[in-house]
Amino acid sequence: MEGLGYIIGAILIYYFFFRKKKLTPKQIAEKEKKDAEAKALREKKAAEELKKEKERLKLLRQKEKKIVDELLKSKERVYFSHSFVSEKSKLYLINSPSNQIIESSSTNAEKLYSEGFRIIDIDKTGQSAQLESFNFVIRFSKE
Amino acid sequence: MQIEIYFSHSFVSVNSTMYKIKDSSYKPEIIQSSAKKVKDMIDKGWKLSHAIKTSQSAQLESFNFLLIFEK
Repeated sequence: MEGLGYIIGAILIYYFFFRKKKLTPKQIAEKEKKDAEAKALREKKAAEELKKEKERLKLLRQKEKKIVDELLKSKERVYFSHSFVSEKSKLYLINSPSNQIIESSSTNAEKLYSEGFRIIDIDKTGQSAQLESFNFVIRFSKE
Repeated sequence: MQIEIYFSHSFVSVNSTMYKIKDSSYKPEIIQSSAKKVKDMIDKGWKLSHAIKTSQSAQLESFNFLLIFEK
């Protein structure tokens, strides 16, 4: 008898505290409306963030282009290479205030020579003797 | 003007062997079939314009150099 009492007690506890209550059609509609509103809000925020990021990148590109255009006017250029091992190795101009390479300025020695540039000075900037870490700063000049 | 870049494990004379390097951002590799002597390039009208020692070693057999030729 005592065991039956425990079972009934457990059923009652489950029934009143853990059982999911059935929603009325009105409650379901309200919940769906709230969910839809929350989703729309999330999507709106995501779209705004994306728009902001696009604008930030656009400004960055414009700024970078201005710097590159200015550097490309010069007949004396300084390039950096992560791994200068051939005439086709990638070379980048450097943004002096930030000391960061400008990805969009990517070129190579072969192209620069075809434009009339020559290597005037070249410095290995890293200590590594590994080909993939042949960091170089290279000065090109054109008469 | 043209440019050619070679690598030599031991650049100690015009008869030292040098190689072209396959450029790859992952791992550049020496192209064994491109073996050439510095003299061969000079004979073809190329001028050695820069020779950059790329390792710290003071041993002649490890005189790693990047050699830049112009014509």
